[in-house]
Order: sequence, then structure tokens, then C-alpha cells
Amino acid sequence: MDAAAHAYRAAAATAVAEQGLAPLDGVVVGITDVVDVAEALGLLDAPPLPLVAFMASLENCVAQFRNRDRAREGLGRRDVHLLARVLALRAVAGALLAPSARFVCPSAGRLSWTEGFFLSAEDEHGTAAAPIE
Amino acid sequence: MPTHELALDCGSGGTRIWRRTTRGGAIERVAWPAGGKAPVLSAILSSTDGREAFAAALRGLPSPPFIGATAGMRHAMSTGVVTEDHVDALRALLPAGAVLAVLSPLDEARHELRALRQCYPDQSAAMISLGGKSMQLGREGSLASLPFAMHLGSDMLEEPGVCLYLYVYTSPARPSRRPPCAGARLPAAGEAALPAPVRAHPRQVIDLY
Repeated sequence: MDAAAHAYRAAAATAVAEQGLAPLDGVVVGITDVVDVAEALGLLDAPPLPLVAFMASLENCVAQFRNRDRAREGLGRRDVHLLARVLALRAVAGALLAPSARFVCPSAGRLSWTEGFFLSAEDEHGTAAAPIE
Repeated sequence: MPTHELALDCGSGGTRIWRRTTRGGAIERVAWPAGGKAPVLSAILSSTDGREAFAAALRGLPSPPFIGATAGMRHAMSTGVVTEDHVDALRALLPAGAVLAVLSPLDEARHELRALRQCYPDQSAAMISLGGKSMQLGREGSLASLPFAMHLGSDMLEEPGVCLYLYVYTSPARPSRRPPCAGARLPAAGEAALPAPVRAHPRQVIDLY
């Protein structure tokens, strides 16, 4: 777990340095697989959360996994995926969200880039409210 | 650009077909026409049989789709597992009107942000998106993509003895021209002794080797 956490922190730091990324402030909305993490943390559809509280929630989740690891509890595939996502979010939020940022994750964030693809095509060809069928 | 009613999201963990149901971005999932689970495109693209089966399945769709491959494909191409020739070979098999594109990281981010703008009222909000092999974040004018996501950690968590590439890299006293083999794993206990950049970027070490 420590090696994975270290890898995420290093990868986030590398991305910040190589791409010259500035911290994001204001409201930051979790979408796609972030929704799964927010749901596991009890943050789904909650009001915007200050960064420090969001990070504390991620830390708490990591601590729970660490306790399970110490107790030699095996992790199933879903647990491993959740833990990896939590570690990734913790590293990226720590490196790329400004202290003033607030995190929110609505259920509607369970979206696909294909929705944006269709919308962009509509933007290009004219928008209408009516069903296509 | 032609308008498509179907779009395939070919990610690192799977392939999903989406159909738009109304104007305004609503979509619904469509079953893989060949039945069963759709294959991961980046995993089958280098195989002639895989390409033919994939294209044959798409001929069972009611209209030609837009096929967008994301970070799994970008990673496969960056490591040479998949080549432009493989992509072109699949394009040649697709039904007329179908479009196959490897989305750039920022195109993927733009599409996700456009979808967010449709469903979240705060139009100034930034996004943070997490997939299998990439993350996207930012807002208009400051979008970024990070070339890592869930798989970076899950691969390490599922294989605590990582990894054969590190073994090769850290064993100059035992030079070998053989490609790394599955049995050449570095014990987990030895990993901590490796230089931090190597531990942090095992995949880059593959390329170095």
C-alpha cells in the first residue's frame, strides 16, 4: 500500500512539474469513477466540502484499509480498485487542489465522455430540445 | 463531422456502447451485439482474429458508431503493444460510416467537461475525473490530463511482489539480453531499496530496458 501511495504521489508531482499545472480553486466536481469513491466515503450528493475535510475523509478511508491489512484481511478486487482510486485521488487532490477548493460529487457525475461527444455534435449542428425519435 | 447516434467508449477496462436517446445529452447503454461482454479494444487490436470479431460485432448495430478509444489505447500505443497499422487495419474492416478515433487526453477532458456542464448547475465549477489509466481535471481554459489512474495502484496492490522490470533494471551484475520473464520478480522486501524514481515509474523502466 505504501509503494502504491508513493507511486501516486510521485506521478502527481511529475505531472505538475512537467505540465506546469496550477492548483484548482473554487468548486471541484467529482465525476466518472470519482463517484464510486464519493459513494464509499458517504460524500455522494453532499454539499460542497472544504478541501481539508475531503482530504481527511480520504485519509480515514486509507487508515481503514491499513487496519484491514494489519489484520491480514484479504482484499477483494472491488476493495483493491476502491483503495487504488482513493490513493490516486488523495495524491492528485493534495497536489492540484488549492486549499480554498471545495469538493462536491453529485450522483449525476456518473457520466461518460460520450455524453459530451453527443452534446458537442449537437452544439455544432444546432441544438433542439425535442427527442430525436 | 457526421452525426452519430451511437458511440463506443473503448477504455482500459472495457468497451461500452452508448446511444443518445434525446437531444440534450441523455444516453442509454446498448448491449454488445455479439452477446456477452465486449472486449477491451486495446487488448485485441493487435490480433487479426480480434479485429475481425470486433468489426463483425459492430455490423450488428443499427447504425454506424463513433468509436472513441481512450487512455488504455494511448498507453498500448505508447508502449508499442498496438501500432497505427493495427488501428488502420481495424478501420478497413469497419462498417461504412463508422469512425474510429484515438481520443487525445484533452479531447477526452473536453467531452467530459461538456457533459458536466449539462448536468451540474454551477457553470464555473472545475471537474476531477478518474478512469482506468488517466485522470482529467480542470475547467475551460485550464484542462489537463494525467497519464495515470486506478491501474497504477491496483496493479501494485494486486501484485505486491512488483515487478520483473525493476529486477532487470537493478541487476547490472547480471546483464541479460533476454526479455523479462514472468519468473523474474523482485521480492517485495527488496523494493524499498530501489531508487525512488524507479519505484515510482516502473513502466518507464520498461521503456529504458
